[in-house]
Amino acid sequence: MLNRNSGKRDFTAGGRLTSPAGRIHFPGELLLRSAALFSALIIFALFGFLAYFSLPLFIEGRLGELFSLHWRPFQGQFGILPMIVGTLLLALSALALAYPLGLGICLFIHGLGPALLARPLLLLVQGMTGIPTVVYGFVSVFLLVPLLRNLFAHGSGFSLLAALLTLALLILPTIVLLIHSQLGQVVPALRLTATALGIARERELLYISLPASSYGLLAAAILGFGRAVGDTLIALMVAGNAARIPDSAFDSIRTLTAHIALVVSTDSQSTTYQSLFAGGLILFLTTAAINLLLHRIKSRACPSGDGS
Amino acid sequence: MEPTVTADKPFCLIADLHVAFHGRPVLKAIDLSLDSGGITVLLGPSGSGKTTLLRALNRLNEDFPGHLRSGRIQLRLAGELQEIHQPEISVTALRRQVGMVFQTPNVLPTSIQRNLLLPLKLVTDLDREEREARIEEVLREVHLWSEVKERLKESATILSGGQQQRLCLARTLALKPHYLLLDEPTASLDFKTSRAIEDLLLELQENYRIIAVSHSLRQARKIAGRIIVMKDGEIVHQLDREGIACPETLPQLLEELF
Ligand SMILES: Nc1ncnc2c1ncn2[C@@H]1O[C@H](COP(=O)(O)OP(=O)(O)O)[C@@H](O)[C@H]1O
Ligand SMILES: [Mg+2]
Repeated sequence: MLNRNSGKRDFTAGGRLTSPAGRIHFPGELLLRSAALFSALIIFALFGFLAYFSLPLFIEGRLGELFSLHWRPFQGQFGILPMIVGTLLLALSALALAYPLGLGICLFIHGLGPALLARPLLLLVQGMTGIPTVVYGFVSVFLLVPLLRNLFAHGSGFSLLAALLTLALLILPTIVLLIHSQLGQVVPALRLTATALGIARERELLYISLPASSYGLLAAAILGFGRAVGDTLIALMVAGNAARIPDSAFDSIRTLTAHIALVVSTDSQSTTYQSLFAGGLILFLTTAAINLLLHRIKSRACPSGDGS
Repeated sequence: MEPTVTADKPFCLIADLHVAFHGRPVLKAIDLSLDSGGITVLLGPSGSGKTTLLRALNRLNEDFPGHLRSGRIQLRLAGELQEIHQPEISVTALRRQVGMVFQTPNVLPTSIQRNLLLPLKLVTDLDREEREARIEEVLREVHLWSEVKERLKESATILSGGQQQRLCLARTLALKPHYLLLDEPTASLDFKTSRAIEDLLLELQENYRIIAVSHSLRQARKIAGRIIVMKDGEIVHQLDREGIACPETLPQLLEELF
């Protein structure tokens, strides 16, 4: 407690919380710092680990092998290109479906729809976040997949289409809650202003509040994409897992995440692993890039964006 | 519509107006008749219902939860007194004619120019050229043009408090209202800027019917053609020009009020 007071004095005098020397001011701070250091170390270790094991591929000039179309481990071919394509196709198409839907739901909640329905709709979406992924996959396998099989009479039904429909549902709450929280900050202040100018609610929402929410709109797209890329279970359960580039949405695909899960659980040949690590590295870097991007748009949006 | 007793003089008639939020009465039995004769200034302790009375005139109270109203308000719209709550009146059209400027400047988080252009675009059918001409006109009207003409594309949030307040006023004027409701327009401004706004209001009273809330007797004395004193949701005093000029009434008021 005494130490905390000295921290406060620093704040008023120097205008920042820690002294320039970085001295530790209260006991909890040591704990926090160690925790932060520890997490950072784990991330670096993870990166080093992935890089170390996939390094041979890079330095031995076997990148062509890695990015080939063929995954035939027993013939010595370890191409993961189909999985990369599969991941991108699935994530982008799921986002293309979930994003407009999520945006629509948010606009509905914030005034395009009747106020009476707004709250139940929001509760429903919030409830969706609590459902374990495996339940989505499970329901999809028993309801959606047979439905698609019968409807389109094309293959087994385990397909890009089945996976993207399920995954869209999975990432929908992420998108809705992000846009909703941004609109929740922006709308109350702007609505009264707009109303007093005789601007109708729909127009205020579309032409004033939405443009003022660009950070949330972008963040929702980026995080939604990130969740879609990172998801393993849905793809594993309903996408069919054929390691090739699909001809249509009715074809089976295999994502990088599902690929890693599958190979690790069935096979343990050493050469196979290098390509797995490369896949892991790609996923790791994608996630890192997504986080960096979020950080950048946030620091750009916030100084001017939240002036009321 | 009922015929009004007084010919064409008053521009605002309020009869037995009650407003409550969540069952708590905020305005009680307000009766008021305003005719031309300068700026009407509402004075009174905080919480006495001044803002609520202003918001009753552009029906903005209806946007707050738990609002309940009874009584009549007539304003002169398109040349004749009209009950503003009758179903034929479009509330958005009413709000354009009865412009309001809030107590704290509420610029939109966008450029100076867009702050003015966007509302014009959304509620009028002016074309781009007319809109741009209009914004220059109103920026000149509030004496902001020379200060911002070089940086119309910059964010409105970087303007000073007084400039933001004048921008908000310009944004309201751009919609060509007949009425101006001003809620403590100088509350967040320093002395010098307040003076400038007061002078501006005195100019504007030629073209607009102005009803302003004020927090200072000095200001009220300077700009008012009529002073309405409120307390606990009721009108307790009305002063016309003679009353305002009379040296005894104002100090007496001061005592009663605070
Ligand atoms: N939207 C609202 N919801 C609930 N109470 C309100 C609302 N607006 C005003 N009030 C209440 O009405 C009373 C008068 O408020 P207001 O008109 O803002 O007073 P003034 O502008 O004179 O300070 C206050 O007690 C305030 O709490
Ligand atoms: Mg007030």
